[in-house]
Amino acid sequence: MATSTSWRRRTILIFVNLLFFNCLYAQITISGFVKDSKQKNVAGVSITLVDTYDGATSAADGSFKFSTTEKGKFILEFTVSGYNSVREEVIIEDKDIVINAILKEKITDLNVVTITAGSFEASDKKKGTVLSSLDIVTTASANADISAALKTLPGTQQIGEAEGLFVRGGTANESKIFIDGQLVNNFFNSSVPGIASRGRFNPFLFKGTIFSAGGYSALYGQALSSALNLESIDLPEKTEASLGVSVLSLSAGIQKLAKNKKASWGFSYDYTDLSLAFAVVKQNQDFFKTPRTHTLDANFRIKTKKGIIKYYGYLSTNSIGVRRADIDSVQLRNSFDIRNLNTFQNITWKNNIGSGWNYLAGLSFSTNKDDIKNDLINDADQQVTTPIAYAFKNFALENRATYAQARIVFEKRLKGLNKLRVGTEQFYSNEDITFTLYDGSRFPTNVKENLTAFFAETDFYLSKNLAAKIGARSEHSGFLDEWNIAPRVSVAYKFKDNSQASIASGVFYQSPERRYLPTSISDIAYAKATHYIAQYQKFKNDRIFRTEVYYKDYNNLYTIGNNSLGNNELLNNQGTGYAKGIEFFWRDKKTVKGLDYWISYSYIDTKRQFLNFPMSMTPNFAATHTASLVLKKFILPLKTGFNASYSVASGRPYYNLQYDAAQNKTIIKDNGKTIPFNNLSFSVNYLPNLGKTDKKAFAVWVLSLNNILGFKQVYGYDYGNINNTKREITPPSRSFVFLGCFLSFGVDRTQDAINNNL
Amino acid sequence: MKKIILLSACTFLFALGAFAQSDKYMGAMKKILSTVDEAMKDVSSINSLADGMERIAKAEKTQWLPYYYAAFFKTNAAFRLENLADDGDQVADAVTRLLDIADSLSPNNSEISTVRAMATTVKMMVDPQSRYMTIGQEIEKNLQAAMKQDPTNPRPYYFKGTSLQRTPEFMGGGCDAASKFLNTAKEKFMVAKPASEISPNWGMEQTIEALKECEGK
Repeated sequence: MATSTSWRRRTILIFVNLLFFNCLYAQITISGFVKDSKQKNVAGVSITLVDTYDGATSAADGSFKFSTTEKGKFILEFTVSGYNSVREEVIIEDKDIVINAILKEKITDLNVVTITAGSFEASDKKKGTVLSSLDIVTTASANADISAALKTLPGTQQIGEAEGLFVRGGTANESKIFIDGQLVNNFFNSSVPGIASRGRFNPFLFKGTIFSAGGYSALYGQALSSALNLESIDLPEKTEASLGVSVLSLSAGIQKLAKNKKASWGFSYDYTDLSLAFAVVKQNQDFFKTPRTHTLDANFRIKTKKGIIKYYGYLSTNSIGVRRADIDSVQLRNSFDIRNLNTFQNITWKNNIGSGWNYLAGLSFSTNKDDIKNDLINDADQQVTTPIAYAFKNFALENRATYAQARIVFEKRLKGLNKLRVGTEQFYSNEDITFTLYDGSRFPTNVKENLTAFFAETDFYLSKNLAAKIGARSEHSGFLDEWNIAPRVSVAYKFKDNSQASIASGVFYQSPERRYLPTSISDIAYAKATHYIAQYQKFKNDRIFRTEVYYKDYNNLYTIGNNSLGNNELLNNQGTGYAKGIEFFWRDKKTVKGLDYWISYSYIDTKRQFLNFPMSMTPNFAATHTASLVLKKFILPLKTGFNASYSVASGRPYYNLQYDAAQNKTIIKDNGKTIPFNNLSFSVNYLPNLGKTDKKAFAVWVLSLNNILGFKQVYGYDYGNINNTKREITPPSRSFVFLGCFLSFGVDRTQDAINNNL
Repeated sequence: MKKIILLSACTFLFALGAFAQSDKYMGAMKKILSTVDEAMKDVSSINSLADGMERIAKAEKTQWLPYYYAAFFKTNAAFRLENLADDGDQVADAVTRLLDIADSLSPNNSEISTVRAMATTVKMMVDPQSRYMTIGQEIEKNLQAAMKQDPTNPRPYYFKGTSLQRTPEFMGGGCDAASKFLNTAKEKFMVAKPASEISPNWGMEQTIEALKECEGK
């Protein structure tokens, strides 16, 4: 019995011992090294024996070591951000295990090379963009005008006599502007000849800006030089009302965010009247109708299950009447009167349809109506119609245009970061222009266009450091009755020090401008530009340096001549040209604490024969050297931002081109170079409520002084038709002052709620 | 008889095993938490704490605390990063993923909301000038939620207080604004009792230290 008990005891003891031994004492050590594919040690890797607590974190030398009491078949997982996880099977028995792992660097948006040749991106969300939306508003010379801010970037010209972006030797018409991919036909307000008008849209409508000075994506077309894509904002952060008062305008608006934060709507109204400003700042011209604009806009945005629907609608009327001395006579004056009505409506739907596919569909519709009346008047404001050379100075022009666009782009996410985009778009335009002569004879013309485009593009990552964007676009113009095909390629390579080099090339086509149509000439084809761009960029610690060289080859440019009415008409498209240059951009937010500045410099050599140019020559919109310095400093204790910008450009050529009937060709009767362009501007933003979270309203005061030193700016010369009088084209006033206060009233009570809790 | 003894031994051991399981969880949690003071000295050891918590989280699957602590440690490490501007977004996103899981295991949890406010602060600090207006509101929203979910929790008040302490006075920060919250935090710490040995129990010392700093000024 005793033996039996002791045996039993012994058995249990062994049994228990065995159990304890197994559980507690049979520790196995697992150790090893973690390296990357280049045999470099990887620190901070979490090594986990999956489904147990056991594991370790790799040290600076990539080594790790931990012990476990587990037994059997397990998975050992190596994870660290920036690398793909590795899972290794281990069988834990009674021997220590040494296991090494090699991790492959993950390709993510953050560490890969980005394709940047030719383009400047401004965005609030993405890190590493060159400019943010706020930068556009706080650029001193820009006065919150998007295109004016872009004029401080390399590649753009300091043109003041006409609106639009003149990029790398191209005309403003060669730059197209898009909102969420949809073309905006009349981005700028209608203006008076010789005076640039502002863009129609408020920069706060957009969260991102991609300004492409060349070599841009196959998703965009009909622009020989440049594409500017503005990405509209999503849902607002909160319900908010706003009110603005300035020397130029009054505005009010509301943005309402639904309770569930899935939808929002809003509208705003703006009345701009330059009477007050013109009373203070003397204008060179006699504005018998001061510029007045009424603008109404409305929007709604709906977050759907897997996407977002955005609508934006805009309606604006403006009128301007200006008189100035007639160039051909001593006592007569020229009176120019314009009334404009413009509407723009755009709805887009971004939707994710699963298995890596999403689409962006857009539909836009816009109308534009200009009524222009030009008269030659005497002291008594009466029309002068004799002699006959004067009579032609009395005319009226009615423009009526309707535009529509439908567009869809599908995007498929492929393995890694590779992407494929395919899409199509259809443009429709119907433009009526009626020219009425002094004697009441009317000459109506109509041009309709249906343009179809198909495009495809792929972002292809050969490795983390080497990527290519390859695309093609094909268009059919109903008006020209012709197809084109435009290949586009860009390649970017990232160096070890994170700087990168890119090259880009592409073919770009564009149909003739409406103002030279219709034409009696048949067999008119697309104008064509081929871009070659090489770029080097280094981005580090809030400093960016980039330089680009480019060559642009123009073919089939449109030439014009006089038609029977004395108006310009398309003659052929055998014009040619080139543009080549080098550009530098440097931005630094780091060296001087709190100071943010950028410098840009552009050199261009360009010649072209187009329009009425009698030979290949440097166009009057290209200055050889252009440079800008932009400075921004926000002084927190003063709650004030100080911004300054200085732009300088060498003189631009000017020409007096006149048709010589005897020789039956256009000749250069006079030419020269303007004085260099200089502009120093200054602006102050004062935010009195900054940091005071209990305030109901948030105010921003803006004071801006344009051309503060009163540099004389001459954009070119006008010439008389009859006696060749030469007159400078200058801005309406040398300097300009703007003062305004903008209030927003948040309806969010987050802060109150917290403070009440104390 | 033999059979009975063997059977009861097995039952006993089985029960012991089950007990050991939760004991093992508590032990592992306590083991990591006991090294916190030592580890808080540098970024890499704080990250090791986070890794350890994440391992427990993934093995347990149903406990919110290890997810919470993993997020908390990762956030603390981020605050000490020299290159926060470059890596902050990535860390904040990883922390958010952990907090989302913690939240699904323990919804409307004041502690989780507090760490969410901290992670959101990391995101703001990546680019304070342009993110202050938008992300600043998100931080407040999370803190407000934390205060509402458990009015006895001192930690959201502590975090709000220290945030204000580091905000310049003309921006609505400074010691005057901060001490209001820090004192509230202190009062709440005095009466706060952690639910268990491994429940969140940090912030008291830091609150007193912050108050001292303010008094010194």
